[in-house]
Amino acid sequence: MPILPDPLQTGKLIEQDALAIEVLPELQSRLSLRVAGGDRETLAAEIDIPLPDQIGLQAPLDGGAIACLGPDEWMMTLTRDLAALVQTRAGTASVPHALVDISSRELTLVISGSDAKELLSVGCPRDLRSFTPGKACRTLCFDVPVILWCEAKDRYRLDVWRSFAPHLASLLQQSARAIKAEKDLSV
Amino acid sequence: MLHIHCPYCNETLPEAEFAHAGEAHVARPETPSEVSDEAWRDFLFIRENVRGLTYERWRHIHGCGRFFNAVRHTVTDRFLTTYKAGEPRPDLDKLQEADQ
Repeated sequence: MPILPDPLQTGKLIEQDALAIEVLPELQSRLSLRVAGGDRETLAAEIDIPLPDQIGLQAPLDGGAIACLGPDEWMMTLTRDLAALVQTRAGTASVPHALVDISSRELTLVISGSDAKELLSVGCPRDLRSFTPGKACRTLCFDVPVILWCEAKDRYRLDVWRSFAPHLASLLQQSARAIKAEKDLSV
Repeated sequence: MLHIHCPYCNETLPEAEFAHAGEAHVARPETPSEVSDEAWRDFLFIRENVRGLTYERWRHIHGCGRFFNAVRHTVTDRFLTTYKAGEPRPDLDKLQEADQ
């Protein structure tokens, strides 16, 4: 459960023609999993969670998803019930690993709409053309470390540390207004 | 902005995600207590600082988080190759040949 007051109010931050930024309520758990590459399959079977083997890919989970962030690092968002179940199962796993509940570390922003990619590209240095649905990675957005998930076409999710969230949100709102102003002018 | 190939992610990504981490292949002495002060100073502080091709460590800090090694030309900033940490240093002559 969240132990700190929310630095941002949940709900829509901005809603314009082709773009919406939303702060999601914290209804899900986040788990960070570290396990050596050689033990990946064993652990995946024991905790009954698919662990994608390629960095940058995600797989769906009950109420969320799991992303492979590094050669031995996975990040999951999932329902609280499933999180508890996974933690219980991991307690009796036969391979060394670290499974940590980091639910309160981050907030989730969702950027959606046909201008979503354009807005993200203002702050994110990655080439977003190849960042298609099913991908997820750790990267930067306006120099703030984020975990970026592409949930569907024109729908991106940003997991950002709570203390950085107001800063990132204000920059995103500013850029969204700039994109709208530019479109209004060109019509 | 430079684009750097991360050997772990197997993708070529923007420099902003990476951090430079000094010269590569600087081996820490096995038994520091038996090393002379001069040798320890050299291990800590003395670097090649070449004008030309150099072996460096980089870290994909805002990505997979891994350290890896790279061969970069210090004048042109051109990366000839990157390879995983722990792998032997590649042959510079062959790399230059392949690059031309």
